[in-house]
Amino acid sequence: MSLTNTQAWKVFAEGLWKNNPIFIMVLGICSSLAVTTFVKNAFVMYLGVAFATVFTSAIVAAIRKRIPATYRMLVFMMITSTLVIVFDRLLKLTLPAVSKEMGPYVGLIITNCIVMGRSEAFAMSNTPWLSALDGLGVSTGYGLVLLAIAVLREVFGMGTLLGTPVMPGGYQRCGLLISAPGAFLCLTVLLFLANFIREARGEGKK
Amino acid sequence: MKNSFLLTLLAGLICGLGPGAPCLLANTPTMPITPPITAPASVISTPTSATPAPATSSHVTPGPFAIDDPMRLLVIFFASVLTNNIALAYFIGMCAFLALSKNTKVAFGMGAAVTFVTGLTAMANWLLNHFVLVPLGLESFQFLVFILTIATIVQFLELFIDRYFPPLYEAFGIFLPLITVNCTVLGTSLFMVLRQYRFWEATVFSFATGLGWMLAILLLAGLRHHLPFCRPPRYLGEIGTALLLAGLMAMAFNGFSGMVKL
Repeated sequence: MSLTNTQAWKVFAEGLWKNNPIFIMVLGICSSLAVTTFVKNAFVMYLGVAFATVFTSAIVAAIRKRIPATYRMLVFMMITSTLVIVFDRLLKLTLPAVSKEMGPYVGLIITNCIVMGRSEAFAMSNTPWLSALDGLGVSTGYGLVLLAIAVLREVFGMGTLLGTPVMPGGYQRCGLLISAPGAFLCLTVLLFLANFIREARGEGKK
Repeated sequence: MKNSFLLTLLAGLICGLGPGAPCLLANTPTMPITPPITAPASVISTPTSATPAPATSSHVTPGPFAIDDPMRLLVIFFASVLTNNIALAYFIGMCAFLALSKNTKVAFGMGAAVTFVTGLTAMANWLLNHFVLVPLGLESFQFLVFILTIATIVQFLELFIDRYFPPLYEAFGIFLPLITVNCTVLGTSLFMVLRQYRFWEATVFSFATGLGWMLAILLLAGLRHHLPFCRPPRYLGEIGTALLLAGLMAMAFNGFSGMVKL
C-alpha cells in the first residue's frame, strides 16, 4: 500500500501498462517481432533493452543541463551505443550461441526507439534516479509483451518452452507462427486484446 | 521462371501503387501454404541464422573490390528486394514503416530517402570497417562508429540538398533527420558486416535493401489508402490494422521464397 503510493512506484508502473511502449506508444516493434521465436532470445533482448534504457536514461538525466539542445540526439546515441557495445561484449562472452542467433538485433538496440524516446521524453526533465526507474518500467513493459509473444510463438509454433517439449506427443507444430507473418499476426492479436481490455476497463478513448 | 518472376514483380508494383490494392488482399490467403512443413530449416531458426554463411569462395580470394561473379550481385539484389525483404522478413525499420505509411506520397518520400541514405552509409561504413576498424582490431566499436557515420552523413546530406537542390529538400527534407534513428540504415550496415560482403556486394545489397523497404512501405501505404472503404474490427485500432496488413503482405512475400537463395 505504502509502496504503491510513492512517486517512484508510479513512475515505474506507468511503463508497464498505462504507457506501455508497444501497445500505446508503438515503439520498438522491430525487435519485438524479430527475436521472439524463442523465449530465451526474447528474455535476452529484454535484458539488453532494459540495460540500455535504464543507464542511458540515468546518464542523460545526470548530465541533462550540459547537453546542448541541437546535438542532444547525437549525445543520446553515443551514450546508448557505448552501453550496447558493453552489453554485446558481455553477451558474446557469456552466451555466444544466443549472441550469434540474435545477429544484428543486439546492435539495433541503439536505434530502438524506446531508448531514445525515454531520454527525450522523460530523462531530459527529471532526476537520474526517477529516470532510471522510468526506464526500467518502460523496458519491463516492453519485455512483458516480448515474452508474451515469444511464449505464444514457441509453445504453439515449436511445441516447446525454453527448449523443453510441453505439448502432448503428436502435436502438429504451427509453422506459421514461427515464420515472419506469424510474428505480425501474434502482435496484432495481442494489440487487439490489449485494446479490448483497455476499453472494457474504461481507460482512455484510443 | 523469368517470366513468372517479372509478372509477380509487376503485379506487386501495380497493387501497391493504388487502385489495385485490394486485389493483393484478395490473393494473399492462397499463398502462405508453402511455409509450414516444406521449409522448416529456414523457417524455424531466426531470420539471421537462416541466412547461410557467406559464400566465401574456396579458391584464392580476390581483392575486396573485385567482382568475380556478376550473377551473385544479381542474386543479392533480388534476394534483398523480394525474398529477404528487410521490413517483412527481418522486421527492421518497423517504427517508420507503421507510422509513415498513411499515404503513398509520404511513403514514397521516406522510401526514397531511406534508399539513398542506406546505400551511401553502407558504402562509407564498409570502407571504414575494412580499412580502419579491422586493421586496427577495433571491431568492437563498430556500433559506435557506424552510428556516428550515419548521423554525420545524414547531417551533410541535409545541408547539401538544402543548398543545391531546394525542390528536393522540400520533398524529402523533413524525412532526413528521422532517418538517423531508422533501424533500416544501421541494420543494413550490420548485416553487411555479418555476411562479410565484399565492396560491390555490399553496395548492391544496401541499395537493394533500401529499395525493398521502399517497396514494402509503398505497398502498405497503398493498402492503407483503401482502408476507409472497409471496416476492420474496432479494437484493432489504426496500428493493429496496419500490422495485420503487414502480416498479410509478409505472407505474400513468403510466396517469393525459393525464387532466389541468398
